[in-house]
Amino acid sequence: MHHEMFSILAATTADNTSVLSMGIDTVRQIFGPFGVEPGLLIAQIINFCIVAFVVYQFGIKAVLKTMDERNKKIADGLKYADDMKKKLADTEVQQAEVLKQASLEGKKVITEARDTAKALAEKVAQDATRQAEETLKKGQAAIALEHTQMLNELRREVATLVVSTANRVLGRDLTPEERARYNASAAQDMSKN
Amino acid sequence: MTLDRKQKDFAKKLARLSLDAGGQISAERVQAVLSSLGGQTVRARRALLKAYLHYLQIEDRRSRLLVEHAGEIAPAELDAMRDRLGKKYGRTLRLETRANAALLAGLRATVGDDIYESSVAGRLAALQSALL
Repeated sequence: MHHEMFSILAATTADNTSVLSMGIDTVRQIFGPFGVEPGLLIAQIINFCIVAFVVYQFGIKAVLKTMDERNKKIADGLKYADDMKKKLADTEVQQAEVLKQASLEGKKVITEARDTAKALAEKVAQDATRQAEETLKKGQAAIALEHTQMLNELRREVATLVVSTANRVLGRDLTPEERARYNASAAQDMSKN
Repeated sequence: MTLDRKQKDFAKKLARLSLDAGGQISAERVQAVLSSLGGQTVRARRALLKAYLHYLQIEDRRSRLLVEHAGEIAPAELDAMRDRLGKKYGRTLRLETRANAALLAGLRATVGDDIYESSVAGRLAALQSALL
């Protein structure tokens, strides 16, 4: 068969027109037994090319484009995830630092609050003690004053009672002779003075 | 009308001029003083006379010995007391007596603003003051 095909090609170089017509015929002769029709073959090839073009243009190209977009999205997502991981790590570090700082400040605030509360409690206790002492002193002074006033009142009552009683007794019991003697003695005293 | 200090001193001098040698107010001297005031106006003389009367009353109180007593007292004792107090004040004192039972016993003598007291009531009052 190869030998026949070479001979055909050689004949083609001799006369193109005749060769073409001869070629088609030869092809028909060669592929005829196999049931291959050159016209149909060419038409199928053209159809195939058209279908392939259409499929590529409207199917494969769109699919490839979609795949590229998906790949890009996936890459972006992965990159975003990496960034987020990095940011999360940084945030965790910052959060840990903030928590540490907050803990230190909290301890400091608690310490200051304890000191302040302790000082305030001491001051309140001192004030209460001082007020209690002042109240005690005032109470003692009031009691002493009341005691003194009571004693003075008692002394005044006793003195008034004694003098009143003496007045009544002397006014009633002194005899005229005793009064005269007292008067004479008083006159002499006044004359001396 | 009120008197100034000079006028008051003048009235005081007039009152002293109205006393006799014994320190008693003399009617003749008072008359002489009154007659010497004729040259002043009525208003000025009225104010001066009021001041003169005031100082005469003071001099009268200074010349009076008021003796309050509870019980009897011998006149001789009173006279002796008047003489001694008269010497002390440098004038003759006019004696007045008044019974005062509140004294209980003893005397209270008053010359001017001075008071002398030697009485049972006074001693009791002193006792009361000492107890208070």
